[in-house]
Amino acid sequence: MNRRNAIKNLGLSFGALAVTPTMIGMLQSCATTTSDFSPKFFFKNQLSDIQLLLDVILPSTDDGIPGATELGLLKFIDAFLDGVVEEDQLGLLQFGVSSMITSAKTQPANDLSDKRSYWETQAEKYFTASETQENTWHDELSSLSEGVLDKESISTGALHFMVFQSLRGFAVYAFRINSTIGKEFMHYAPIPGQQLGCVSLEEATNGKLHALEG
Amino acid sequence: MSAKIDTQYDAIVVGTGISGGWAAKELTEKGLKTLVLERGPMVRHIEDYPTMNMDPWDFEFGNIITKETLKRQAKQSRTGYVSKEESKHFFVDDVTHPYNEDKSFDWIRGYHVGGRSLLWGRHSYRLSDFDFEANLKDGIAVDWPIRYKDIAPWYSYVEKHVGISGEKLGLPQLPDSEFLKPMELKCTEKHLRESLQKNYTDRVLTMGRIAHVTEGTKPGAGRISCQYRNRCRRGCPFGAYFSSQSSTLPMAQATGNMTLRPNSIVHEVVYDPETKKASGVKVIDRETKMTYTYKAKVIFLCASAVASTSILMQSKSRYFPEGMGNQSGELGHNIMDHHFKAGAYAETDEFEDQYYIGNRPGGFYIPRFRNLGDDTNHKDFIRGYGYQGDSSRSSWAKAAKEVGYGPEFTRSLVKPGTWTIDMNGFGEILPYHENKMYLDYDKTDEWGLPTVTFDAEIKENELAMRKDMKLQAVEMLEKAGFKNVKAWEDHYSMGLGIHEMGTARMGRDPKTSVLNGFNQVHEVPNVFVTDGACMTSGGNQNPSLTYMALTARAVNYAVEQLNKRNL
Repeated sequence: MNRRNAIKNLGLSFGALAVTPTMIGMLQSCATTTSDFSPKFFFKNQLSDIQLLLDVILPSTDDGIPGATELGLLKFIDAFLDGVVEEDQLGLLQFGVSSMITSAKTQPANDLSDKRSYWETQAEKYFTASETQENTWHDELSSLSEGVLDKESISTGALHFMVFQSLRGFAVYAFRINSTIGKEFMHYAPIPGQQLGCVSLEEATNGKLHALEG
Repeated sequence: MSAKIDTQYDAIVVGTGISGGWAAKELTEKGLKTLVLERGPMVRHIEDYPTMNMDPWDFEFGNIITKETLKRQAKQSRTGYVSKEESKHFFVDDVTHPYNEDKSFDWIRGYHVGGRSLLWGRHSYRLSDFDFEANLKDGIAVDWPIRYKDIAPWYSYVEKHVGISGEKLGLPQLPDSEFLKPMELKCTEKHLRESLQKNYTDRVLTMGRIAHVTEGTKPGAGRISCQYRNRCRRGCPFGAYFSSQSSTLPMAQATGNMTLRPNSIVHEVVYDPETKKASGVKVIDRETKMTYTYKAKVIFLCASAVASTSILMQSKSRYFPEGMGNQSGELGHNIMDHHFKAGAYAETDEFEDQYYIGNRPGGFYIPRFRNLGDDTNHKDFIRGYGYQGDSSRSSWAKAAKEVGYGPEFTRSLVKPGTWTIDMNGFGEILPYHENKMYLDYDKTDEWGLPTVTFDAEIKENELAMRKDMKLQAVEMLEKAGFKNVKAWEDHYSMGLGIHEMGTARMGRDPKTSVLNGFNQVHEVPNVFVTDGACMTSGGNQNPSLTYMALTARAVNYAVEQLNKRNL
């Protein structure tokens, strides 16, 4: 099977969804701290680490684009997982998240900055791995989706790789359907009124992505 | 509960979708007092389009299929799109409207005024004599009782009303319509078009022929040009695409001759053995479950292929023990669809400084190029397929690979990504007698009516065609210089194309067909079926335009016959 389909076959990939033109939606845009909501998918003691990880993946930028924390992506992703993703997939994801958080808690961390450094190291490990390493993980995940391996038998690396890939997919989805991002940082044209098939990027959107494509 | 109110009309139309809307318009404009029956609730133009102006963030989880929706619309959700938040309310609840599958069949339905005319893909293509002569040439099923010349003027007639945007090509296998100006191709699509012109003599890429007003206006409920929002399946406040709501029903209403009765489930056509004609239809009110009988001189069944066939099957009497019009034994057989979900995908690093304006509500089209004679013939399959495709810049895969995470990744997500292009083949399915639907009287719905069971699948010819769909798509994309070209194929079950056809086919011989060349039930001349049930073969073209033309033609014939007192 195609290695790159492994996470998709587990039902936890949003990479495919993100290229679908109609895949646009919503998000409560209020900033959220990790303490002011009762999670439906994550456990309370996982929230601060997941919040940090999401912010490492999608931080705010120095030119003013808000990041995961400012946009409250954690709260949206938690509700989304509960409202949209099937139970067996959630079971696998929670298994992976728990394992990842357990690993994180064993690391010495004096303050938030140490913790952020930890998640940055992890992000580098899982998002910039060599193709050979990724293929090894994909092969393991393929075995999992085909039922050859069970979730307890796959390596920590493959399991955490799956969680990182999945969370990034959910984060991108949540980011791109956020009203602040859509209206202020993408090209928001609710009634385009015309259709031109091939024009310069500058003329079309001033270099921005269409917020409402689809 | 039962309450008999016998009311006489000149004509009854069952169904308000593509075909029913046209039957209503044509009959009423010709002066017939017409009762139009729709099994579902009323949907008013504009005021009953609750999601038409919603932005992505106005939906709780985005425009996606939720777990809650899956509980009630599991089968509708097999499409992956119709039960998304934007349009789920226009598709049936599978729990309330069950059906059975001997083999997997995706029966995707909209039970409301306007039916699937509100929800269709809007691609509109004429059939040609390659299609009308195909069964005869191949010795398959039965011959169509009509040829292109019989329907061509009716295509023109309906197209002038509907508004079809598209480009004239002069292709014999895909005759031109009465076009409004085409929408524009994207940069990548223009590039592919040029490559096809350079590398092939038999292939052309054109803009999809789509039922949208692109210039001027069209009659109906104040229709104006498309505003390029691509929110069509929610209902269009501009009436830019053709639907019963925007077009045919308001015109029928304007005549003063239409009585529209929603919530009316027609389950039987009543036969009068003395006149040897139908006298009316039996109806169950969806809400009250009261029963009614309505009478008319002529009846048009336009409830969609499976529903119209089901009504004929339930119209049993000692004169028609196997269902009305089923002397041939073909009623419910020969069910067809269009198979798809096989093609290829590619990317390009070219055109990075180019983009597009507007959300185009449809993609490009590559007309059929197989089995048109000489060296276009393929040894492994008969008939053909076309491609529908699209191109966009919403992929973030490149940024994920090259940046992965961090501020630069955040920035990349508000900019267009790599151009991607996708081609999806849409192929003809042969009319196999053994592909059928039948009724299960042991499993009834909440109105006590039998449920439909499907027993149909694609076979060797279609499977061989699917291989070619992938192969040719890859070859065309590679010759155009695209990179990361990949063939793809997803599972297809019958019905998923939402083009059910053939279950009451037209033909020349009452012994082998249900309808004659004017869509008239052979044995009951004042009953006409003009939806997808009538199709003798399916072609590879999206079929709605053909239903419209056949409906207008059949109404014209019926009224002529009524005036001559032949009905």
